[in-house]
Amino acid sequence: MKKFIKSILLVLTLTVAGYSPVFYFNIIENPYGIFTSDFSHQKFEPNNHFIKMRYLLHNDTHFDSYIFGSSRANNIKVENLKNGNYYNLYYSLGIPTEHLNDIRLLLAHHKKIKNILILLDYTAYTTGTQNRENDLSRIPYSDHLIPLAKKYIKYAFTIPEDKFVEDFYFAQPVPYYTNMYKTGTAENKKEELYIENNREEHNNHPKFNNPVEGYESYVLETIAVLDTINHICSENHINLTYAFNPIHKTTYLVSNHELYFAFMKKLSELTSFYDFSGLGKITTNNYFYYETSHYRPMIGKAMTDFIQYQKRIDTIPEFGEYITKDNVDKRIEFLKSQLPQK
Amino acid sequence: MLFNSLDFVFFFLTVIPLYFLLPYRYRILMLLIASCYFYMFFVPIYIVILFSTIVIDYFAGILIEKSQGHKRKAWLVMSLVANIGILCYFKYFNFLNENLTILLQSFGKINTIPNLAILLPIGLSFHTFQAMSYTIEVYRGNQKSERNFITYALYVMFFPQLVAGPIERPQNLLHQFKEKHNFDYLRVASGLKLMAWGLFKKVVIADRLSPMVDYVYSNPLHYTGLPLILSTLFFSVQIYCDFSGYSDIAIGAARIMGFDLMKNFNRPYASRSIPEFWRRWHISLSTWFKDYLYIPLGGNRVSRGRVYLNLLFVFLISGLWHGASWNFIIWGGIHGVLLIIYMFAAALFKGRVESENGVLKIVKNTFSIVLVFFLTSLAWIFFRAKTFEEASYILFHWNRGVTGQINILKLHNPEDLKSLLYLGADGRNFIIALASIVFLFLMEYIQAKFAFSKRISIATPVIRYTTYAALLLLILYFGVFDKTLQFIYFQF
Repeated sequence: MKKFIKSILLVLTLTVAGYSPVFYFNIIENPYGIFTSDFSHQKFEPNNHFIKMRYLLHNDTHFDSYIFGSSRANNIKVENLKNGNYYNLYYSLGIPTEHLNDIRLLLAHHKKIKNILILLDYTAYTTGTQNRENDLSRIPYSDHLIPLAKKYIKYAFTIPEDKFVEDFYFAQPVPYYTNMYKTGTAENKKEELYIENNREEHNNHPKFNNPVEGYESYVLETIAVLDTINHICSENHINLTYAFNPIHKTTYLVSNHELYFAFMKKLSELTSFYDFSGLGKITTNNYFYYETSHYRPMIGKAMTDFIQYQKRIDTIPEFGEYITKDNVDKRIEFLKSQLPQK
Repeated sequence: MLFNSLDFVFFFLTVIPLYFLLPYRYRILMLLIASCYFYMFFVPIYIVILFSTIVIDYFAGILIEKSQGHKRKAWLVMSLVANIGILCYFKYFNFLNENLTILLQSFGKINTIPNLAILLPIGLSFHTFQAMSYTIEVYRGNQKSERNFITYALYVMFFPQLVAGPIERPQNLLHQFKEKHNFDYLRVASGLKLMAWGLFKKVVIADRLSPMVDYVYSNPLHYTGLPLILSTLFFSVQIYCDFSGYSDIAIGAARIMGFDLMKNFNRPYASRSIPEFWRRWHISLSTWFKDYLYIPLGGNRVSRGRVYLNLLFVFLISGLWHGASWNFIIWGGIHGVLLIIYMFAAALFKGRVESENGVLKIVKNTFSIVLVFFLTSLAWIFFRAKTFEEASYILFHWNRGVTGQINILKLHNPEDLKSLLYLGADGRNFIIALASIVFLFLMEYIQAKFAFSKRISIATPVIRYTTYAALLLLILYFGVFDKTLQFIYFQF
């Protein structure tokens, strides 16, 4: 037996040595931020979903309220939300199916939840979960030992693509993710400063002609998930709020409106929600957006002002609408009327 | 549970230490529980079907042994009917029903029997055949009935060979469950090496070739010539590496625990004739058909015409065993016909072959090996194609316009040309695939000629451990670890 163990250890040592370049890149360079708690030198977007859930489940925090959503939800700043200690659980392409799992996990770990704000947009009802386990930037966290071990093994052993390694070594660290454990939001101060100093150039940038598109339909699945979230929140006395993100006109105009209106209508049958979408002075002005996918924090602030205090922007009073099953048809008609006639 | 998954790594790393740490009397029970868990990892409910056949055959074995004359035969028939009935219900019902629909339609009638919306229990054909070999051997008096239910259940459910063989015989396996196996360094090391080699064949070669073969075979009507040839040849290698890789892992896993499973593959693509191919390919199934179908039909003791007819029948059934589709039956039929042609020619030229010198022998052997590989590859077309129409198309278009599409693409779109030549893969993947195929056949040749594995195990520690680590590194660096790529033979 001793001889066997010695042999196995020798072979494994040699194998680990031979595989060390991969281990070095995956664990030491750590492009997805999995093997660190210091995000000050992060070059690429870390796997926010995994890291945030791991942090929340295994640490005693003061948070009792959570923001869920895709990367657009990052621009809802927690300091603008009152009546709770908010943490922003946004991550790239965040979807309700995973929000439901996260809520269940938080409750199973006896985390106090007072408020939940879920930001919705086309990502919510057009993205499935099929490839999540294979997408290193989006693998969800698991609190079960073997599934979790498998995820860490995947992070350690996966051979990165040449282009990814090349891009990684040419990239500079960005200080966006230093608030990972404080607020959950990523701060893009450099970009904010650039826009303010180069308004004209930013507003006329050709990137605003490029829409974000190419998703499938998951309307019914998503509605079923949101229904479950409603029930869980109701059972656990959690104050649940939904809001539709304001989508930049370029992306909004190419999106599947039939799907969007169907989703909106079905959601209204479950619950009331805030709608900031449609064509308006916000969504048609490049100044309020980084690109055609993400609005700026100033818009997030306007949204939370309306949600919390029904406070509107003086110059743009039509931004935001509280939608119930009674006025949803009117809202959809209004949104339809804004679309270019075919 | 897939052998090439992390789930299996965790499972195996739990089962093996437990097996050697537990007192001997608990080991068989532990292996049965582990096998149940292994099987239930796919579709849990199907364990009920498996257990019901185990119960039937367990009692059938005892009753056959206790009975005499017609009663003895009746118990055997009952057991066979139960096994074949379950196999037919799950595997062949829809196939028979669809053919009945076509038949009735030709008479202007409508078939009102609906198809079954059920999943085929994984490895059903394998464990059914293994169970049937038990009752047949008890009936023949070659095997005593097993009175310990746990031991018998483990004979059918032993996890390394439960879902894709090798299809064992009771005389070889049952007694091994009653023997005490101590931890044996050489045996464990040998088992681990075999598992690693099997894993190499599966993840480095079979799973890398899989998308390239799919690239053409998902829509073969779009191609002519070279892509059809290349994807078919790649499929020949893919299915060999996939299935023999599984068998190696199964045999290796069992060997670690002290069990000897029968060899299932023996360099089949080094065969110089079709009969030799079938002595080297899926040996446990070929010998099953020989022992339980071909010989009872008369074997070689009947007239030559009858021998040919029996051979064709056995191969058609073998094709049907692989899948409920006419394509599999045709695949079996092609092999049957090739075998008959070979036997006919061998009988015709018997005694006329003169002694050959070294060079001529090498040329003749090489030509024979290439010819057998070519013929078996042609037959694989029917095995891999989704429909008869697609298989026929490939068969009649692989030699048409071999470079036709290439010439068009060369002029218009070099990127599409690359994609066509590399079967949808990038250059790197294509080269790795080719290099690993060359490496595989080279290693198999070296192993056969020079007992490479044995030599390595007695080499100096530096060479030995470096070689083992190199194999693991090859798997890690060049393996394709995609959960969606199952073992091809699981579907049977």
